[in-house]
Amino acid sequence: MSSRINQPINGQIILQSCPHLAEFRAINGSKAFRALQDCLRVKPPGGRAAIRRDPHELPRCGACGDFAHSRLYACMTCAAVSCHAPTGSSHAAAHADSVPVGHEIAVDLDRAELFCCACRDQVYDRDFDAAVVLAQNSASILGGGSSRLPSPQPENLRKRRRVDYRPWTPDLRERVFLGSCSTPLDCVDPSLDLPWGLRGLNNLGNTCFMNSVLQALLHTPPLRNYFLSDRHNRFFCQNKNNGGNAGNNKNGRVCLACDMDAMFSAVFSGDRTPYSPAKFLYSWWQHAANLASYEQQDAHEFFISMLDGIHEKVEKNGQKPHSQGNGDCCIAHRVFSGILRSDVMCMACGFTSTTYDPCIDISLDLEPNQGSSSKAAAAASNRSCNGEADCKNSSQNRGISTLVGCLEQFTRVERLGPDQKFFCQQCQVRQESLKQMSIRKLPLVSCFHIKRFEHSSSRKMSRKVDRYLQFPLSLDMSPYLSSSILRSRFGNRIFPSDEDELDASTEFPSEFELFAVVTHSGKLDAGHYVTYLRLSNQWYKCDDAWVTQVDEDIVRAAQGYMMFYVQKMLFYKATERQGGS
Amino acid sequence: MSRSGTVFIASSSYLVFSRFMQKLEIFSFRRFPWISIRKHRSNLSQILMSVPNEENAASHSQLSSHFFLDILDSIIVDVASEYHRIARLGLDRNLEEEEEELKLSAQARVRVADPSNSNEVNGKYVVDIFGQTHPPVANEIFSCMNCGRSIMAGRFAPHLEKCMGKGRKARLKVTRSSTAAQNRYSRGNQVSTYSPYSGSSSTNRLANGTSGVAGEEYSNGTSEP
Ligand SMILES: [Zn+2]
Ligand SMILES: [Zn+2]
Ligand SMILES: [Zn+2]
Ligand SMILES: [Zn+2]
Ligand SMILES: [Zn+2]
Ligand SMILES: [Zn+2]
Ligand SMILES: [Zn+2]
Repeated sequence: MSSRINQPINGQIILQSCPHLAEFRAINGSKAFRALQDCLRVKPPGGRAAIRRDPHELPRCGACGDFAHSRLYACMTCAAVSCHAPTGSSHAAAHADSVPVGHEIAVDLDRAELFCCACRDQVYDRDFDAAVVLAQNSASILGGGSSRLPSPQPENLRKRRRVDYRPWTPDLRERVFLGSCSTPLDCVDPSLDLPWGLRGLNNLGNTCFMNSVLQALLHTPPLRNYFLSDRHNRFFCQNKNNGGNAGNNKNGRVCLACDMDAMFSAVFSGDRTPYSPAKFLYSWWQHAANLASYEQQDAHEFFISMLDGIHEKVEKNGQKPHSQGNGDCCIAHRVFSGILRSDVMCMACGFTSTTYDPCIDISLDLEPNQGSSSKAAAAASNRSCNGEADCKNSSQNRGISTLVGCLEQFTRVERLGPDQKFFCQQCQVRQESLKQMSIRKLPLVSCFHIKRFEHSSSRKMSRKVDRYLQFPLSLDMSPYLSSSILRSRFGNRIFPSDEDELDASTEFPSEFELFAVVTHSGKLDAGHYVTYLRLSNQWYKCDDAWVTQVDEDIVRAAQGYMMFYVQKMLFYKATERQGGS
Repeated sequence: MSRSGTVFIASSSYLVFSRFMQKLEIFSFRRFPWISIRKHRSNLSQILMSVPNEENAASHSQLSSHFFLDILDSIIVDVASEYHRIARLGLDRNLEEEEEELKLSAQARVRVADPSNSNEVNGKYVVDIFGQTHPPVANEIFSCMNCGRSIMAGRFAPHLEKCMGKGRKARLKVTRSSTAAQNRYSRGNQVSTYSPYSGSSSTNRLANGTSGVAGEEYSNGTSEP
């Protein structure tokens, strides 16, 4: 493919057109494309656009009279229709040659794409695409839908979506305060050139579910920077909330952020003997009083419940209720929360309803078992649509499941069949519909949870899926963003539609780097969690108290249960900072 | 550009064809989800139905009708056109990078599976990176935040469970996020959403915690090795 000419830069598509198209535009301006508007026909609502002067026209080549030909082009200058074949005679090319200049650009009648007869290549133009999208839109509106593209946005999403990531430096008053309450860190043994903050965590009795997640969180760059720059000072927090009677653990109110703060101080103190996160366990248990006994604890559940704990405490202190998705909330949500978009389109009328939901992680199914058993395949295809078969072909061509495959499956169009009909506001009845998820806003840190534990309530049993899942060290999330998904829905036309969507993709870089993997080995109930951490581009295995160095291969081959990715920019910032303690 | 297309025309067997059709639909469905090529499909399935079975595939002469080839050609151009657009606009995913990652992972699995490459001696550690070694049960001693007794780190959680009155049978798994959210996403992929007023911290936090139950069994917690 010689084609990566128009690389999107930061999500923006840069177009380079051929000299003939440039010439055509210079002469005709963008008006020429707007004139086409009346000839654009979109057959099923939201469907493909074609060019016909009147709906029942049967176009044929002006030179040879062929009408069954699959490639008929209308000259953009004189509207003459000609056929074209990549090899052999091309009446379209002949038409362009027949006149001195200016008849090179034509339009594909069946596909509404521009074609340069001189270059013999499909060419692309923003204004032309905009005209096509407009036609597709109005077609679906005629079909009954009212709002189609510009979808309702959550109120405060528009304004302040950005999570400010500004470094904090203490002002004079704060510096005095800091000086009075802290002692400078002793220099870590310089002979050990190991990353700062690497420290084992004692197993407190089957608490590897907690240790594994804590290790990942302790090395989550934005979280680490937050706590290490003293943004949640435990002494200050306890003081404030106890009206001065701080210090006493027992009476101090439970604040998981305070416990995180204490843990960060301990782990980054330079002490390398294993640390016992006992106080944290105690506080978390108080928070999660209704959770199952720790013996059945699951690392992912712990993750969710402890972030929830941090959120809740900080919110109670907080002034106004925040919207979690927009980055204004507590530190847990500022780091982990993203926004998902879900579109449901009525298959009868084309009306689309869009909803947004905040999320702190994405739980992914291990894809259904690959090809081997035809029974499984049959069951899957029975279940529903074309889409179901998709994942099997796309990502499992190699016979292994991949994280990218899971994400593809996650954002694939799903048909909500007769058993799960969706109420259409337009038709005012339940209709079959298409549903598609996409990511409206990426978090700073993306946590993917692989559903390895299956709980079947009907059969009252649980089982663990031990299958390997390949995950990349670098992950580009752009194909799963709402902007990409929306664009592909409109045939990948370049259109300036929902600027907000475009905004979201440029504002938040979509490139991520893996920095922690929580793995689970062994059986459902007698398993063990271990975390692999990537610090200064070296991998470390944190197995409770034991921290060892491991080869990247070990990590790549590991059975991931939770994968933590951070935005590439922050990853590199974090790696630079390492070592320079 | 139309790689798949040319390859396909060369081998005009019925089987290859039907597989190709499946693929085609999948692709179009994925890339252009809201667009259906059902128009073509219905025409084609009629033709295909007229082919009795695979054995008869040899007699594909009837398939090579003009009609058939026209539709086929048209579909190939459709797909080619779609992919041309994706490629030219730089919207194709960085497949080379994905391939590279896949390759690295596959190689890693092969190497890791080879037992001679293992660093650990029988899965046991000798020393950690700091040159330390650790007992199987962590032996740091500290006092329980709940009852004040001295307790060994490695036995803290089971002690605390009793000390705080967290019975084994006591709690239903109320907040199993996996099950709670299951119905929201029919595909089964679910997302842990949360609400600001999450109910997961219950009000009965320490209701039966500190006082009563604690005494029952922790006498052996204090000085156990
Ligand atoms: Zn012709
Ligand atoms: Zn002309
Ligand atoms: Zn040209
Ligand atoms: Zn606090
Ligand atoms: Zn929050
Ligand atoms: Zn409807
Ligand atoms: Zn106790």
